[in-house]
Amino acid sequence: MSILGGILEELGVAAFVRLDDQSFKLLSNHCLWFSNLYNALRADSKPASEGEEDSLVIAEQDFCQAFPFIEHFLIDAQTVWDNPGRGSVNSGIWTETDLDGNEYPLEARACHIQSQLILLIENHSSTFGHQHAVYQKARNIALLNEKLVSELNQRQRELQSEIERHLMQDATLQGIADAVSGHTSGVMVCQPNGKVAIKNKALVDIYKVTNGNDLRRASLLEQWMTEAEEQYPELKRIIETGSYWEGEFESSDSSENRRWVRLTIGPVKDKSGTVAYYVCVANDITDLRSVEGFDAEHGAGGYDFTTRLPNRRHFWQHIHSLAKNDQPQGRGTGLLYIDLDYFKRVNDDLGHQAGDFLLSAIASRISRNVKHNDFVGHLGGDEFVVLVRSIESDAQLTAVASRLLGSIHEPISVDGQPMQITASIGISTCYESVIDPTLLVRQADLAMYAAKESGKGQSRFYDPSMESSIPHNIQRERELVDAISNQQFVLHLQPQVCVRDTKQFKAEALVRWQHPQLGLLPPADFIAIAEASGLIIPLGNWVLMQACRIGADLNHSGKPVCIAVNISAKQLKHPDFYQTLENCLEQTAFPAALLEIEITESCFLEDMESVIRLLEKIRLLGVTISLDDFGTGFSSFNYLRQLPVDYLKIDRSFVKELPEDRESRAITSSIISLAHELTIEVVAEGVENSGQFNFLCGRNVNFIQGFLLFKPMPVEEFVRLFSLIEELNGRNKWIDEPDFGTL
Amino acid sequence: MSRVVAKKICMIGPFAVGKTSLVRRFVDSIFSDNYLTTIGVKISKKIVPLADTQVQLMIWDIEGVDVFTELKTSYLRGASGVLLVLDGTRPKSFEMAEELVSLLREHLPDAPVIGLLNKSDLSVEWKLGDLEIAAVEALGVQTMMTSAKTGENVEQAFMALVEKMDATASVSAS
Ligand SMILES: Nc1nc2c(ncn2[C@@H]2O[C@H](COP(=O)(O)OP(=O)(O)OP(=O)(O)O)[C@@H](O)[C@H]2O)c(=O)[nH]1
Ligand SMILES: [Mg+2]
Repeated sequence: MSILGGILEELGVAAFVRLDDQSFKLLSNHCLWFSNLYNALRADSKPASEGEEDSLVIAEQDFCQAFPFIEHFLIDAQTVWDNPGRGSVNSGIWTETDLDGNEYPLEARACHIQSQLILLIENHSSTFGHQHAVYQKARNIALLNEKLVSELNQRQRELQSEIERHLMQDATLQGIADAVSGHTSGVMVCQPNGKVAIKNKALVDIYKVTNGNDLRRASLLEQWMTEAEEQYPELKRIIETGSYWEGEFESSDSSENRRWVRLTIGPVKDKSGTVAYYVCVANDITDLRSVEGFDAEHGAGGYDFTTRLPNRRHFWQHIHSLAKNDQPQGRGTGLLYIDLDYFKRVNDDLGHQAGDFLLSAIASRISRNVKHNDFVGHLGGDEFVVLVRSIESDAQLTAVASRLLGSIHEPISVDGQPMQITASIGISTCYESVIDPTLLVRQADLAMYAAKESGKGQSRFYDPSMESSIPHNIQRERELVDAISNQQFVLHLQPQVCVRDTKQFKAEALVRWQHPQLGLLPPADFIAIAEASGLIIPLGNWVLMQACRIGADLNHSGKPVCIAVNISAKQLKHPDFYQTLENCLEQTAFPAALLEIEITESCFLEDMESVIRLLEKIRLLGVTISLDDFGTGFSSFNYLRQLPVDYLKIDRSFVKELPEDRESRAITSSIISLAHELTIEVVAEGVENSGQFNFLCGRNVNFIQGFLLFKPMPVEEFVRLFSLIEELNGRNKWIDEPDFGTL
Repeated sequence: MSRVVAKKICMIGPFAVGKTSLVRRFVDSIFSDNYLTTIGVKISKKIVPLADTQVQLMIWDIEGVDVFTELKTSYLRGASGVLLVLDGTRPKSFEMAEELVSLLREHLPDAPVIGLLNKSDLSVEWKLGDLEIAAVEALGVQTMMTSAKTGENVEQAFMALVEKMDATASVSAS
């Protein structure tokens, strides 16, 4: 093969010259991927290059028969070929599938080169995955957002007509004002002369009216009509003729900040048929619009805020989409898991800004030292990954790793101080036809630990002996059986603090395993094993009983606290669950109203109807129900209004990225509004810093749980805390100071 | 043997409405709940009988339209018919119908268009009322409720389009 031919093959390009007899001649003497695909797509099965050793010539008719898309493209191509001045034309991407179901994203281009007519077919297989992942992600988010918007719109309309109905039924203005005072939608009821009858707090919040008697803003109706008129010239007419209107437009608050508002306006007529009131409901949709892509800058999302590299979610999406396609025979995928050594120290010594600077610098060094097609991701903190595809041997990865180690180690100046940093790299590979993403990542992670263990600043390939350094699942499972019979578990309590009324708080019961050799283990280390082995039923029942006991004791000593207990889907669906629950309450004399069960969306996956019936029955006992990890399953948005739940817990993956990440911000805000519309209260867990805290409080989240306020703690400590809070409350210190950090 | 004629038809519509799923249901009789967005175009073939001829359908499954992706009208060239797919559970998708229909009228003035209101199996989430359906039909597009998931009306929709194409072709031939 000529060098040029080799280069073309490497680039995935099949290059043809158009001959006088309209046929196409392959320019290099062979192009493997193209011949394979062409042979697969031809109707007759005789190999294309039969009898012609040195090059492939395909008649136009055969070409078009194998590639109908090309037949269509030839019309555009011909206009270029007929006009040498025309430059070139591109077909856009189309996909072909070979007999084994492998997909080829292809793109054709027609041009002139040295007065020859050229047709290029480019195979995008190697880069397509990444491009696809970005599109997929953008569309998944747009879909989620659409669902939220449509739910919110529906609620807004319902609220609007509810108020109108009340007005028509002559409810008192005061009664309506009371009913909407705490509502998350802004509500204004005014008379045609502009006199405001009702205006609730949410409306004041949208418009940031700091001064309560800002008379210029007495009625917003005039302002709205002027602002919306540009987009909706018909608005004035509709309103004046007494019809209903809804729409979205940009509106200014009292300090001239622009917000997007979604407004519904409905007139209420008196008995004589003249308009007595306008009922207006407004929602601030600024965040939602940014996700819809009106603000295209961040539309595709999924990037780390500091380093601009694809983030963890994006990486998982990418690797899962790769796993959907088989790898070519003899080719493999390698994953490098990179963790900076002693990064925490840099961060602590020099501060966050220096830390962020360092991360960006390292990120660009990593990106510069890998091939264009390799995927670089920033999983968060000081962890990066590089995914290398289509490798032929491990040696290629050794080369990448040593390049990366060298480049990361080069001196860097942070705040004028020269410093050198090292990293540990774990490498895993897969040469099977199908990649198992979880396995690949787990092995790379293990190898990275091994690299750290053996002295940092180096890379290590995964090898099965590394498994023995962590306890094996099977062994864990056996130990778990013993642990259940020997009751090696304890419950810790983590307070959930009510934002509006700091005197009020609840606690989530979290189980810990007092492992004889390993010490206190968090749920993450054993719940999955318990789930998989069915041990979750006895373990879950123990937790439930123990939580009721603790709650009952607290209650007896004058400390009534609502305790939330996690119930797994398996446990909930066990035919005896209701009975077990009743028994626990009865035996411990714990008031049902103080018990909350936390379930996840997965409980509703099958047989939603009967789960709903069960939950309704449980609620009749007085037990409250909380929906955990909300937002990850997506599925329950549609059903939320049907579900008998009292609380939603926003999944921590959203909280984690607050307040920087736009999507998380938008999704958190809309989950909270949606829940409030449905009179469900919202708990945010995993709150670890004041940025998250302030954002969530600004969105009127109801309860906050997280390290920022309190870690999970043993019961005795919880009792001490409770007494302290009571004492403070007694001294009235606690009331107007939601400064939980000081405790 | 009966005559085989090839006809191009296009699947167009907003993203994630079920264009790919409808083609897969019609051509391969399969359905997946997984959403894998289409980039560019994919052509599938299926032969269907029409009176005494066989029609080789070349079904162009075209990437969905969203704020980042416009409909590439060059893909429409030579099409004999269009299935405009909308998602009955997503108001946003039918808001886009008008714009798409006007593009079709401009680039394919003679091709019959059938509007598919897809995902009819999702009755709880269904958001299309008579009013919205009337609004789509007011654009001159006959509509049918389909479900790629259950297969409801899928075969019928493609066949209805083929028959309309045939009728259009014989009118213009005479
Ligand atoms: N319940 C239900 N789901 C459907 C139906 N048709 C499609 N879906 C789902 O809707 C999602 C999108 O389907 P696709 O067929 O990929 O949509 P598309 O229009 O080709 O999307 P783009 O290629 O992105 O434009 C997938 O998750 C499908 O499983 C249907 O009739 N019923
Ligand atoms: Mg598609």
